[in-house]
Amino acid sequence: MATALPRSRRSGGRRVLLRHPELGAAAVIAAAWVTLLVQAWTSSRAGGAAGMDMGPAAAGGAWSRAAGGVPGWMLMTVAMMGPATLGAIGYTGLNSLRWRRRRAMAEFAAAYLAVWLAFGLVVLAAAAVVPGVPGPAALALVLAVAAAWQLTPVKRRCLSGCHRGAALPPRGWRAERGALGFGLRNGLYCLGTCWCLMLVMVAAPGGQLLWTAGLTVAITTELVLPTPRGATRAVAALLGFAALAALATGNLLQ
Amino acid sequence: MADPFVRVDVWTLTATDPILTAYADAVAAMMAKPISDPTSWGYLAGIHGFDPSAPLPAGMTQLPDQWNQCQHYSWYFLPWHRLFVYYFELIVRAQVIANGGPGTWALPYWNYDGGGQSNTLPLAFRSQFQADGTTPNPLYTTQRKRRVNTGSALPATDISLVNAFDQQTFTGLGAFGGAVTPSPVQFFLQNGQPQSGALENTPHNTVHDDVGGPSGLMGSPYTAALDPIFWLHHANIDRLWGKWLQQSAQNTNPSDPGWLAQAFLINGNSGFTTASGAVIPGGSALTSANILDTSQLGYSYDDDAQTSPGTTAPAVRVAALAEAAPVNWPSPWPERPAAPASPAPDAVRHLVGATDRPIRLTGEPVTVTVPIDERVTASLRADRRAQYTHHVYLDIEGIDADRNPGQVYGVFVNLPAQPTDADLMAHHAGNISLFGIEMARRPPGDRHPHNLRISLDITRLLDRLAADGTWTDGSQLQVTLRPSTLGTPGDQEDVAADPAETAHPEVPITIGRISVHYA
Repeated sequence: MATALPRSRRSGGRRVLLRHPELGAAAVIAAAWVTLLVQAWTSSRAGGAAGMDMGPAAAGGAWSRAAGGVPGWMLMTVAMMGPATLGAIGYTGLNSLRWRRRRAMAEFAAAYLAVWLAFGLVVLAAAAVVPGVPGPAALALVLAVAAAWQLTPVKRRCLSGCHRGAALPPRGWRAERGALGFGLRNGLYCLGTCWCLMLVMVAAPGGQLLWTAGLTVAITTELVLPTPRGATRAVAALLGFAALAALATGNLLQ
Repeated sequence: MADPFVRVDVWTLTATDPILTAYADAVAAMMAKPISDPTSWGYLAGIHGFDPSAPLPAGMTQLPDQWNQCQHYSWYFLPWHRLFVYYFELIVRAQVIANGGPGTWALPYWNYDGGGQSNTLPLAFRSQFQADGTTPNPLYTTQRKRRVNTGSALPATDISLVNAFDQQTFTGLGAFGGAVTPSPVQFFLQNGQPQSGALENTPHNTVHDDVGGPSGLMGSPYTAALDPIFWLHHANIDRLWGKWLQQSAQNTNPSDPGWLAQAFLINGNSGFTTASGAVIPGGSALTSANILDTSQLGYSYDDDAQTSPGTTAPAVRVAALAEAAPVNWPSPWPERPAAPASPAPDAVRHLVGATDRPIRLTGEPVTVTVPIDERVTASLRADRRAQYTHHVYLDIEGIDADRNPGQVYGVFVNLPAQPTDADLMAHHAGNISLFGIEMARRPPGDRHPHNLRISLDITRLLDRLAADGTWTDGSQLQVTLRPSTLGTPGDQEDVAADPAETAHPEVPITIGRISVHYA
């Protein structure tokens, strides 16, 4: 019972929550990971391929197939991008009035995820019509592009953009627009930073959970390090190596 | 044992005092050295900062690792600069001795807040030529604001020590010495949290801008240490650190090992071979813990026996404030307890109000209203479990400009429409300076660019305004940003703004938001 807790312990927990309003979002990200783990476990028990859950293998056009893959795509987006985005979510909460912190963070998250949803629809639709996706050749190509993208100035600018704060108006429609706009901008910068890493998830013919975990570590490390150049280059090298391995083995991590 | 080297107030010296003539001669000799020599004028300035996008200095194939170390917007600001000035002083003293000057030479300090003429540039730095009328004066440079070189007074609010000496903690947002930064980084900003200390805000940043302006040496960390007055300015900042510690037993340095054990390799790996032949070793670095007291470095200040740092924050006034009964603030603010706690560095801050659109500054005063959100203040009042320190912070967020316009803006709370000089001092919360914006926007190495954010602890100011009866409507705060202007010599007051002097339409300053936080 909460009232039985010593005062200091109780207020300590409250202080953590007040200082880190993003903890709710962290719980959602943790739930996404649990879901991914359960999915992988269920899939392996069933002896099925561990490919990305593209939803029911619906008949019909590319767009409807893409729509079927959206839940899986968004689940992975939350799991992979979430940890790196917690800082911006916390910033949004701390810089909002206490009674609308959750609302502001939800608006930020909604706009942020909308960017990835739009990108996901295009990617999933393309994956539905391009032959050989998922497949080792597609994976090798995507990994090579991702490795090259790591080293471009655009990627570097986008990564810096993910660190930019925003002047959030406190109340009224300006506050709504401010949080949505911040989420949208942060989402676009994040997309510019990580778009080809997410393509890996569509192109990989197997080992999704390992890819998800590895890429999440890469994305988060790059974002939280104050001097990311070393991490960016290391990730580029690993991606390049993985591209070669995918070509050589024909089917990496399957 | 008394420290052998005593730094004296430059305004107690005549322009031809041996301390100043020896300094001038040493500066001339150091300026004549090639920049690749670590004891040259240019090399030492590069340790503070050198624009990585500028052409490489003659004779260099790459920038020395020792360069671009300066610490700002960080709790390392004070120890780093203490050590930097210390090494500089050793090198200059050796040069003074080599030139046949006094062996006890120590760097003078410029206490602009010492009353009388002290708020003007010291005389020895103003004249283009030395006493003979033909030899160029190495202490003079045209790369300052012209009016500073001709003896105009620094604006009173730019040299005010009130806000810095109102602070009772070293570490924290808006506190005396700066907020915690995890590692030495020039112009730190992480997760949008402001980190600069109150002393760094004023008078440090402000004097840089007032002397350097938009294009002078002092206006940029990349060139500031090239101006001979830089070192006297920083000797004063260093002196004020000691004065703050003297002010009250409550004022203490951080005890955090992250601060105490932080080493600064200003001497580089090779050290310095001075003009007298003595070698200052390199390779090992002193830490903050090694330099907490100036006696650890063998120097003192001529006014160490006095506790008053200057004229704007006399010890008596500050002590009286500390003992004064707390004043209740007008509704809807939470009730103030009999003995408010000291601000904790990690206190939880609650946003209680903010402006809702950006502000653009081009040289005119701007007044905005920050509405205080009654729903938040009601929840603060109702929350019986919360442990507030009852401190209020005014944050200026998202401060940005293409480059430093060299114009300081005073930040005033509830300033009357036609303020008198006394009103300006009474309502002054701090200052906005863009000093270092170029380093923040284009940081050396692969750090991320950012704008600036400052946090001003306005608790004592609100106490004073509430006690004076000039703050009666608690539902809002009026915040005025007003360009400061150079005054007439000896004047402790601001003169009427000359729009032509303060205008900077080609380099507008943008401010994202002004916010008020309760902790």
